[in-house]
Amino acid sequence: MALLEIENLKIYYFTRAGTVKAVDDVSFTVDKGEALGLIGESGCGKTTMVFAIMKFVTPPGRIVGGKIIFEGRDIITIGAEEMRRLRGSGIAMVFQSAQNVLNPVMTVGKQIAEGILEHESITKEEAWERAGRQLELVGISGERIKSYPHEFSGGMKQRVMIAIATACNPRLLILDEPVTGLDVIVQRQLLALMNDLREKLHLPIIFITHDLSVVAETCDQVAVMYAGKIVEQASTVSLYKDPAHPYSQALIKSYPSIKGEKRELRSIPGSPPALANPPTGCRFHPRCPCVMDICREEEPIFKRKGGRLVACHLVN
Amino acid sequence: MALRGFAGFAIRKVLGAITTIFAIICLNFFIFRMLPGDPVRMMYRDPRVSAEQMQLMTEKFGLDKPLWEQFLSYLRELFQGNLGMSFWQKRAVLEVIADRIPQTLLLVVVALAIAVVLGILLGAIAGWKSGTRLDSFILTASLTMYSIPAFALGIILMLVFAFQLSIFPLGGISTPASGLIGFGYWKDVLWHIFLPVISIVFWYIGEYVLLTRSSMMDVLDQDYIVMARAKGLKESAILRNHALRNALLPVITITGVNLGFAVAGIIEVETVFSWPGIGRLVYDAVMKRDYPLLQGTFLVFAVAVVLANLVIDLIYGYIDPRIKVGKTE
Amino acid sequence: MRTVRRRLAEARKFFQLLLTHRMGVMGLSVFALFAIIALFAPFLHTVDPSRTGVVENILIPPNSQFWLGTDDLGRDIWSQVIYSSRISLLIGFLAAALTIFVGSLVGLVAGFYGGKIEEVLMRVTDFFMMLPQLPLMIVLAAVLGPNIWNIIFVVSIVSWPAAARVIRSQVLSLKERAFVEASRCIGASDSSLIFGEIMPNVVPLMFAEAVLVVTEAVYAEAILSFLGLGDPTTISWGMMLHFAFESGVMVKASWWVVPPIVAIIVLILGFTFLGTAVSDVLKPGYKEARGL
Repeated sequence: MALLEIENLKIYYFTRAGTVKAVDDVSFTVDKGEALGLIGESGCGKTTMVFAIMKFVTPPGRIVGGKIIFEGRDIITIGAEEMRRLRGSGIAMVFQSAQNVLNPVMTVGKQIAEGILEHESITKEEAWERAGRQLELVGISGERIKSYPHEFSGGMKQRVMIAIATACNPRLLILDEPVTGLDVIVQRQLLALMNDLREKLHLPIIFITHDLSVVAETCDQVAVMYAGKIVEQASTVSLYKDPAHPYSQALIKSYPSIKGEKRELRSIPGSPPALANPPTGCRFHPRCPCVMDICREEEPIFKRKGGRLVACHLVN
Repeated sequence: MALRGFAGFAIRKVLGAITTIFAIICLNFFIFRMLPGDPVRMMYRDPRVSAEQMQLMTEKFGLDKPLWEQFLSYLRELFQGNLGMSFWQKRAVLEVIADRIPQTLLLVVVALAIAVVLGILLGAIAGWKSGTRLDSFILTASLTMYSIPAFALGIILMLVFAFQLSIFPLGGISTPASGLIGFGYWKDVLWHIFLPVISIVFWYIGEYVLLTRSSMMDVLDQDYIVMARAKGLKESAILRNHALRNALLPVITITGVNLGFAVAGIIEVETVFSWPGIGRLVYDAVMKRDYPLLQGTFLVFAVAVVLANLVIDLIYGYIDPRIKVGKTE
Repeated sequence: MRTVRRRLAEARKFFQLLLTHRMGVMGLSVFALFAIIALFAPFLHTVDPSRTGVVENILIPPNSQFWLGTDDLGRDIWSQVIYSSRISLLIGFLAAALTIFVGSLVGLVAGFYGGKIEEVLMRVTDFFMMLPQLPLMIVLAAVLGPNIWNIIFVVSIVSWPAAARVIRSQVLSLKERAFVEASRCIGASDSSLIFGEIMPNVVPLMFAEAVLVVTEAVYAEAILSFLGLGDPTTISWGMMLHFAFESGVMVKASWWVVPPIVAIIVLILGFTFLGTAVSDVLKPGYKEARGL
């Protein structure tokens, strides 16, 4: 049984300007021990989707259909209190580094310990000790549990966040653009840390980013998202070697490679559609170099083909 | 000199306060000795003043000496604790003011304590539940309370509750010649202080609700609140440890600025209710043209506000870890 | 000319937006009400408000001849209330104008030039902000003498620092924006930048501050007059309360005291609501949130 199964998930935002179909009939699975990368341009709905997994969708947004099955239970149907207990201990999340995710007036030790104290019945001393060990786990001296967030650099704050997120031994870790906005050296260190932790803790992760190179370093499986839909899901290796969907192909082509021949960088013409009024048929068709008539009318089905899942009329 | 953390901060603030107090002293001198309507000069044009009296006053006030000498003797007298002589009461201004300090202090402490606690509580609730009907109600009520001047409210309360309904006394701090002592006396004072406190508190609660509410709303937009939820913390813990602590920081800062308005409230309410404090002294001084007394009260109020601001700044510097600990990275 | 027409159109849109806000409607109505009363005072009053001396008219409660009764000198209260609106609005708007003028100048210069100039200006501003407002106003009014212009001046002295701070921080954030850089690149002079590019973007904020200052000015005039520092040649709500308070019969003549208090509160409340509406409307995203 898969750890997490998303089935036909639909999340719409009901605004006065119209209904925004942020996530439209998305399905994928995450198995135990697996690392799934979720790529897409800004605004394609990836953050909305993982927010839904944490049940953070607030009005005017609403989950209008589908299932999110975690460890065999559809968490859309469970109550608020049950979900609260699941957060942090079952599913945990790491946010983007540029954000203000650490409370500036609370010591980092307390910010780690309070999560532990909430989910486990241990004493305060034990919780603080665990907090110190969490910091060591991410490569920070345990003595710094008494330090405040402003005393850390950006990269170290991300480590603290990872320490917080893994403190209660969650069964699934979601990382939303965790290294975006950090300089490449720090990125490298953090990614190495994450791989290290994955091995040590056997932690399945969902890794969201718009940066293909980062995904290549950390994930076994990749799902490509466009305009609220997943267009391709494949193993990292096969996606990079041989992308099937035109959008995936364009993405891979737009990334320079150090090895191999020098070629002209090709960006994808046009811009992502406004999700309030997506194009008919296949949502990528206005920008697709291989567009056919059927693409304008019918939405392609997400089908299995040759060891991967693709939603494209051409491929299928 | 780059002293780290709190020590550097504290020294800077104290130096700032000293400079400001000195500037206030200069301003005081300027207003009462150099402006066109300056009362000392006015006395010269008063035909009722005889030539000898004028000569006496000239010597006394040193008006025949150059301006900077006048300023120096003004400073000298100030440091000796001499704030001049009250025309009206014929004793040292400092004495007159000192007599009134306890009554004003009583009023201020009681009123501010109630207002700050209630204001912050209601403001936090309104901010936490922003967008709901409760929030709209609290917001509108606070805006209204904020718009009613203390003296206007005082007069209405006096009319209704003191005169028409005779629940509370018409003024003063205690029933004259009642001979009450001990607990009975304090009960009497409590009965007298009720309406004045409400008059001051109204505006203050309005102000604090608006402040706390908007600060709370800003804080709730922050990412660490989402993070706290992602950890699975209880809502009450999030409100207490994450939201409130951060929301209160700007409120503490503004408290200092608001003290000037507290002074206004004191003057208004003490006047209306004949409460024997420094505020009432201002009114009496104006009505009786007792300029030394007026000058003295201004100095006392201004310096008190500066000192109170200093204390609040220091408290804030101690509470906010970004200042207390300073940057080590 | 084109830009003038554009600015006028923007102003009109701004007012239309204000009218979609509940407090905006209330505030503008209050303003309209008092403006009408002030303008048409000669037609609205019943008796010459300064007419005194008729002994049997002293301290009469409201009746058909004296709609709100009379005071201790036999003067008609209704007419006094009507005429007082002129003083309050006059002082309110003139003080607001002066405050905004000085405050904006300081804020624009300090924010735009930065450096030493900004430091000096801000030190002065902070100093004035620290002074307790009412005592300072009282002391200045007492020394300068009781007349309308002094009151306007005194109110402005006390209100300009807050306006200067607000405007300066807006200028600072505008300075960062690209269009300032762009204009500099094409060689625009300092003053054309300040007045041509930055100021138009600051005007809505100036308007918001002006509304606030009007409330402060109305309050200040009321309290200063109540304390006996008002202009004795004019009649204002504060003066009415002063006379009532001094007369010794204040608590017995509620008709004397309630109308001016109601007038003061309604005017201040109206402008406070208007100020809230203005600041809401100016926040980015107001139109979207309302679905406009």
